[in-house]
Amino acid sequence: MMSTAIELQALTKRFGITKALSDVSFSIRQGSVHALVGENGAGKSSLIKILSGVHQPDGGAVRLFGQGFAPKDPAAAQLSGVSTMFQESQQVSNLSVAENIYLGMEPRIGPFLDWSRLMKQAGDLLGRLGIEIEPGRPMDTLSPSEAKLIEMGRAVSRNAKVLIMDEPTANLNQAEQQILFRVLKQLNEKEGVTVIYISHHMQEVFDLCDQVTVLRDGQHVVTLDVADTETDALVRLMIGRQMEAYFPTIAAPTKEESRLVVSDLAHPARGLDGASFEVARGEIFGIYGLADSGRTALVNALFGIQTGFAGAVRLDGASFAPTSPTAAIEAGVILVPEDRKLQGLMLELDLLHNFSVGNLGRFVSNGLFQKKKALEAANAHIKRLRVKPNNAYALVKGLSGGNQQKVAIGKWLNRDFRLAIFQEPTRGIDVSAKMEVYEVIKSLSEAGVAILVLSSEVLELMGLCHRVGVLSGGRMTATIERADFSEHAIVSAALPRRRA
Amino acid sequence: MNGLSTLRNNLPILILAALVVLASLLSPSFLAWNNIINLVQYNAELALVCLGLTLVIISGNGGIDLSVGATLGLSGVVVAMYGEFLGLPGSLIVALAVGALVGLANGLAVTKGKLEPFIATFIMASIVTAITLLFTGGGPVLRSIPDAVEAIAGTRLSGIPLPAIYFVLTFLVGVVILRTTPYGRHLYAMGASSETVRFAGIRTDRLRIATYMLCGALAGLAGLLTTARLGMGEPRSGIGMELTAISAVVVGGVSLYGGRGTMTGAFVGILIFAVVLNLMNILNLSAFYQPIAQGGIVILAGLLLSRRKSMFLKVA
Repeated sequence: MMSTAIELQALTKRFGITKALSDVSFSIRQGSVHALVGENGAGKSSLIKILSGVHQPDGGAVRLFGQGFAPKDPAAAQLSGVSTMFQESQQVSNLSVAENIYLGMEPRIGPFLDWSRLMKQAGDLLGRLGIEIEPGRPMDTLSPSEAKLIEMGRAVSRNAKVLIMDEPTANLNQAEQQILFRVLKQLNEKEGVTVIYISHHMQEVFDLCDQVTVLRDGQHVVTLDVADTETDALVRLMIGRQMEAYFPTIAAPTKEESRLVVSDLAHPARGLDGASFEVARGEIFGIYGLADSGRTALVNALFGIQTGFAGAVRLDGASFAPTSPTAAIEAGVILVPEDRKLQGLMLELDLLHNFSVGNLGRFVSNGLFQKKKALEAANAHIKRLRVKPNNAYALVKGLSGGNQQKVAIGKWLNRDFRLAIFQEPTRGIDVSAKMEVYEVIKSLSEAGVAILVLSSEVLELMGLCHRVGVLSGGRMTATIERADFSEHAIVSAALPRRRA
Repeated sequence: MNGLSTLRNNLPILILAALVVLASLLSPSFLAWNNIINLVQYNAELALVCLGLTLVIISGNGGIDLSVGATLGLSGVVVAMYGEFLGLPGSLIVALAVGALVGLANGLAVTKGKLEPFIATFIMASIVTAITLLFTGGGPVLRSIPDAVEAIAGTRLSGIPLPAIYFVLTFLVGVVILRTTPYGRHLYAMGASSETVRFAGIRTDRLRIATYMLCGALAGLAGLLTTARLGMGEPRSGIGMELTAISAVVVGGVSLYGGRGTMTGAFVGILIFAVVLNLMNILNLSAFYQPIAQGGIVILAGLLLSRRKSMFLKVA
């Protein structure tokens, strides 16, 4: 007899004008491993943040083992037996490993911490999980992947009946992934823990999970037995149409001369260890890599955010080593950054000012800002990019994520450039905005701009790029032509080799 | 840890050692037992205030309490006003309660009201000072103070004045709280990463409110001690104390960004200031130089501390 662990009833959650979840209903069987899949912005994060007590729903209800379940904070969720491993790093760097595991549940003697019991419990737990890390080590001496395993230890230490794992394998190497999978199986099969497993990697869904729920645009699409479906069908359900209809038609690259030539770019302390690649005129070159692969250092080098890199970069044949973002922009390089709110936009200002800042000099004559000229340009961008609202005086902070991203791109359209770098260009934006961003990238490439797209979404890179380079351990471990694209090829090339 | 970072981590204590050597060279009477005891006993109130402040600052998210001086003043005049009626136990409870109440208001403003701690406690300082002045009419409270209350400042135990003992006790209590209680460890954790602590199932708002209440209660206690020492209620006794206290703990290596620093460091900071002031007294320098000397120390320490990497917390 299969009983239900969690039942969602018409769950709804809004953030400002964005509806993150609308009327989501499905149930999760007790003792199962239930996959939750969907694109960025599909509502997975909102859903698990409601289940873990971080957010409260605006409508609908959750039942946990038949009881009403509306945790007002994470403490309440954990007391009810729901424990979560969040995607974002959840470590306290100034404490020890053992304190991190038992945070909030430390063994005590009266009002005091029982250090020896804490160390022993943590040692036992880590031993049981097969994780070889000293419980007394300071957390900030751990690698990111070791820290992730400690976070898993914390989730396990809560004796949860339901364990939520949000992208747990991101940044883990294969050996560490095996530890995680083994622990997951142990908890699920031996201890009967129900697991909700969020992943971008289809392989993991098919290897580990019993059922899968697809979310799209905040809505429940379907819940299936994993045995009854296959990868392509699942991907189609996630993106809501055929891949071909979703991404713009990318013409085969014409044989053009290379605009960007990167040779042996290195800075070991920042995780770059001799990366080399070329991007041709009009080519869209994707870069896939995990968090510590060197992808951030690469962008920092090309946009002059950091200096002191070894190796050589040539842009249209000329040596290129920008010492500041200003120098990079003057050389014809633009960046649409990962964190658009912090790095790409001025949230408190209006569209007019956000657009004009990309090339303020164009709107200045006799030392004065020519607002009329800037307004004309802004209105042209609003029209071209279909920004909503189409009002140059609207404040950027009130726009949806997709429209904000259009503004972050649009500010560069006031100048000419040769190389455009896009970091996570569609993170957290809805499907129709994604398609529009893809169209803009495509039209830039058709105008001859060399384009670098760094994305953690393999499907996005496969749909959008002419070629994909895979960065791992600071080197390009593979460069894959469009004809040879496969999720497996890209992801496996990205996994770090075991550390010696 | 290499030699340089060890040097930097131990910087406050090195500064203190250098000052002690300097002071003993300049004045043979510096190292006299009486001078040391006085130096310690006159900083008992500052020590109480610094203990609470250190906890608040380590808890992070901009945690600071600018109302400790004002709270000290209010608590001091309240017990002076009603001491005769309250007796010692009653005065103790009232002093703690007055401080805890101010702390509760601060804590609620910061957590539920989502005000910046700097703003919330700055406003609280003005309000509390105003209440104190309204309450007293601005002048000292000259009612008779019970002997039992005065005795907590005036008694000697084996020749050592009680306030000197309070100073040491306060230090020990602070060390125990930060190093051996889950509460203290959670303060460090919260200072490093408040969201992580909340997601781990700890009620961070409660923890923060409790910390402001503790900080207020300690300032209240310091107010009682001030009144006992002066033998009257002085409404202006706490004015400016928050700045001295913040300077001292920061010089001792407690990071204003939260999550870093030790009680030992904070107390070394107090002693650095105490030694400098003591030295100025011995040398008969005008009291008007004191703020300049204090400011100079803070700037110097800030410059040196900003160059060190991280103040490592030892486990166990």
